Amino acid sequence: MIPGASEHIDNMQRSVAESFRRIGSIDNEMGKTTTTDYDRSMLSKERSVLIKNLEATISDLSEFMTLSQKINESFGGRRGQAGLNQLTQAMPQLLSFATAYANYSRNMNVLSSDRQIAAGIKATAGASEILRNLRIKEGSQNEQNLLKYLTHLGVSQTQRADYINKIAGDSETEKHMFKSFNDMLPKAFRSINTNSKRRTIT
Amino acid sequence: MDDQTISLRIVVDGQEAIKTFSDVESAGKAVASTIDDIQKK
Repeated sequence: MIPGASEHIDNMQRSVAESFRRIGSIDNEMGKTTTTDYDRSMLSKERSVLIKNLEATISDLSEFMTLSQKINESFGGRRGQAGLNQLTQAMPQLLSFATAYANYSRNMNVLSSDRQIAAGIKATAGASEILRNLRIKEGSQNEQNLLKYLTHLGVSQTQRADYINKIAGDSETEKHMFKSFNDMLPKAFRSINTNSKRRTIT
Repeated sequence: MDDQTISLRIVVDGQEAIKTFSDVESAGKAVASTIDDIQKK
């Protein structure tokens, strides 16, 4: 498995367990006759946000684990194993790449500075070269799986939780933003592969 | 309102499932067992 993956899974599992514990404790508080209506209303709001976060974390965790299996299967042969080793060595670069683009996505309404864009292009060029060496065909299922997997690794759970808190209750925004998470990495790769100008990166 | 009930909407690879549990403990156990199942695959 790619370095950081086990730790990522452990963190998510801890976050899920902690959310369930807190929801249980909220339910106990709400069941008490001494709890005021105001406190009950506040607890109810916290419970809704916790459930939103919980759903997002479980969805992320399930997808990440499924992707992890698919990647291990795709890189199971001797050549694939060599490619996976190469990927492992390049992990810091790829993580920086995934994080750079996750940040673009999270700050969609904020103009990125030239420096941020330059850093993103540099990281993308390196990552793109690695993918070419791995002979991952552009637009293939393997490419999509790998990009999704790296996006998961590159975006911390805390960032995702903050993000969900901001958009809790707005399902259209949620759909739009999550779609951008899934779309951003392939777009970034293609913009480099076709030597496009920087406007295609965002 | 039954405060013990918990409904979770889980989306994986575009597939959506809504599961309702009678209490938090059973929801936690069901999720843990689903995670175990995925890990064993």
